[in-house]
Parts: sequence; structure tokens; C-alpha cells
Amino acid sequence: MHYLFHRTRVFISVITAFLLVLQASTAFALINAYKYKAVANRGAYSAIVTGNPTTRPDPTGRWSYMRVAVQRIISGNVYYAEIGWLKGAQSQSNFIPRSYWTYRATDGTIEQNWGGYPGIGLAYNYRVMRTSSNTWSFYFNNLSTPLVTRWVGWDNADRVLSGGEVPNGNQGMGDSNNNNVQYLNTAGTTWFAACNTITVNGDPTKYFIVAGSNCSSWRVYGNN
Amino acid sequence: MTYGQAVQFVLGRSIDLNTQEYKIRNNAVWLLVLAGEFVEHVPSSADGIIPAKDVIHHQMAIILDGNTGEIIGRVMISPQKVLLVSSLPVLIESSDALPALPTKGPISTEVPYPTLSP
Repeated sequence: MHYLFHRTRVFISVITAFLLVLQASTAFALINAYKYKAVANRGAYSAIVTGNPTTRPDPTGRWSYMRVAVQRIISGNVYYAEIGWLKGAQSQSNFIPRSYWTYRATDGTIEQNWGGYPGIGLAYNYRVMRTSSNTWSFYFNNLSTPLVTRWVGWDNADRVLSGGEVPNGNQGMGDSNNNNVQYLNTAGTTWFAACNTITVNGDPTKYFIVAGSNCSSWRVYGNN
Repeated sequence: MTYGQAVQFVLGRSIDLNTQEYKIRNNAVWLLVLAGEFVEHVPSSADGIIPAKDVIHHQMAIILDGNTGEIIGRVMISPQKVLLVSSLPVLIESSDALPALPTKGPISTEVPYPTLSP
């Protein structure tokens, strides 16, 4: 998602003032789902290789990313939970790929935050999962203990998706696979591979059937 | 304030003890609550049926690391909610006059060439 901050200099309240630096813009991702599956679920997982791309000349900032996410649709509104890595001009990344997570709850709350730094060229676990009533957890690397757990206002998601954005498809990402994309059934008991269960119908944005359980929803070669 | 207190203030919920976040609950942070208009770009649905749209938020909370100043969290407060900040100190712009900028130095003029003697 993009946040365009403007007209912010109206009123500032602080508990303790230190330093305020308003970024003209900041950016998190869920603009395009390059591969998705419409399925009721309570979790999404992918082993994502950290790329080291150049950053996109996005009008809201300079950033590239890869992530796994779910979306919940309620009355025409899109809510989501996602986690992945992002490389951008934000001070928290400073052009080094870093794990991030974000969600949109049904009460309209948006939260975005950062985790550890994944090693470039290595695969890490990324997972979002419903862990209690209306509450989801965000996992990076460690699948036993989540980074955080947050109330989002919904139990079941309607879409599972993965992918990312880089400046172009020919260079920039390095070699970043979004592998073994899985989703958790609504009973919370079984993880299914997203790739092997979709009807493609010629739609390249949907997961495709491949041998085994690997599913590269985005793979761009290069050596940046 | 601590990180745990900041999260409680902003989200109205305590930190789950079964998370990695719980380990930093006692870390000192700075919490800033901004008021204004913040445009959130909500993405379209994955199938594209529901288009992207913009939503205006009126408050945004930023949590800064108390030691490094790094932004460690950002929350766009729900448009339907208002954080009660009346008891919080207000950041105001300094009334101290800014020091005057240095005046521009005199522009050097070229010394005319001496006229040649006839």
C-alpha cells in the first residue's frame, strides 16, 4: 500500500517529544498480487529468497519488495495481513532488504512495522496465520514464535497471494523465489500447496500447477 | 514510556506474551501522535473486482526507539476512532526568532583597465 502524507502539519501532540521527521511518503506493498488463489483460509506461508534488487521509481518512494499475504473482503472493503521483505529508501530499510509486516483491520486501523534483516540469497520463512478469534500472527524466520500478534477483526481470509515488485522483469531482483506457497484451511488443521490446486484457465496471475510443491510466483534473475 | 505502554495506548491492547515483541515491551520509546489528514491507499482486491481506493485518516501514531530514534512502528488510527490526546503535551513550533541569514557580500567590481597612453 502506499501512504501519501500531506497536510500533516496541523496539530501535533506528543507524550514525549524527541524528533519528528515526516517522510514525504512511505510505502508498503499490496498493490499487485502477481499470483493468487481465491480460497477461504486462515493462513499463508512462503519460503522467500531475499533478493537485492534495485528500487522501483515509484511515485511514492523508491522501494522493491517480495511478500506473502492474505486478503479478506467484507462489503466491498479489502482487509489484509502480509509479511515479506522490502528494500527501499525508508530509513528502516536504508536500501538494505529487511523483513516487514502490515495489516488492515476491520476498524480501519493500519499498522506497519519491521523485523529482522534476511540474508541476501537465502530463503526464509514468512507466514501470516490466524491464531485466535479475530486475531492473526506474523512470523518471520521462526515459525514457533511470531514477531507480533494483532487483532484484525476477521478469522477467515478470502485470498492467498504472493509476489512482489521490482523495476522490471529482466534484472534487478537478484534471484528471489517465492517458493512453496501454502495456505491453511479454515479448520486450521491442514496446509495445502497453492500451486497444485488451482485451475489456471489461462490467467497468468493465478497460481499454476508445477511439479512438486514449489511455486515460484515471482522469480527474476540478475545479480544486483 | 515503554513500548508496551505505547502499544496499549495506540491499539488499546496489551502485547501478547507469546510473541517476540513481548521481549521489548519494557524498552523506552517516544510516542508521537500526529493529527491532520493522512491518505491511505487501500489496495484493490487480488482479483481486481474491487478497485483500490483512498481513505482519509485523521490521526497517525509513530513509535520511535528511545535510544536510537529509529521509527519502530507506525499506526494509522481508524477514521472512526480518536485517540484521547488532551492530556498529552503538545509540540509547538519554537517562537524563537530564527537567526538572520548572513547578508550577501558586496559584489566585486572589475577594475577598469588603464587606458592606453596615446
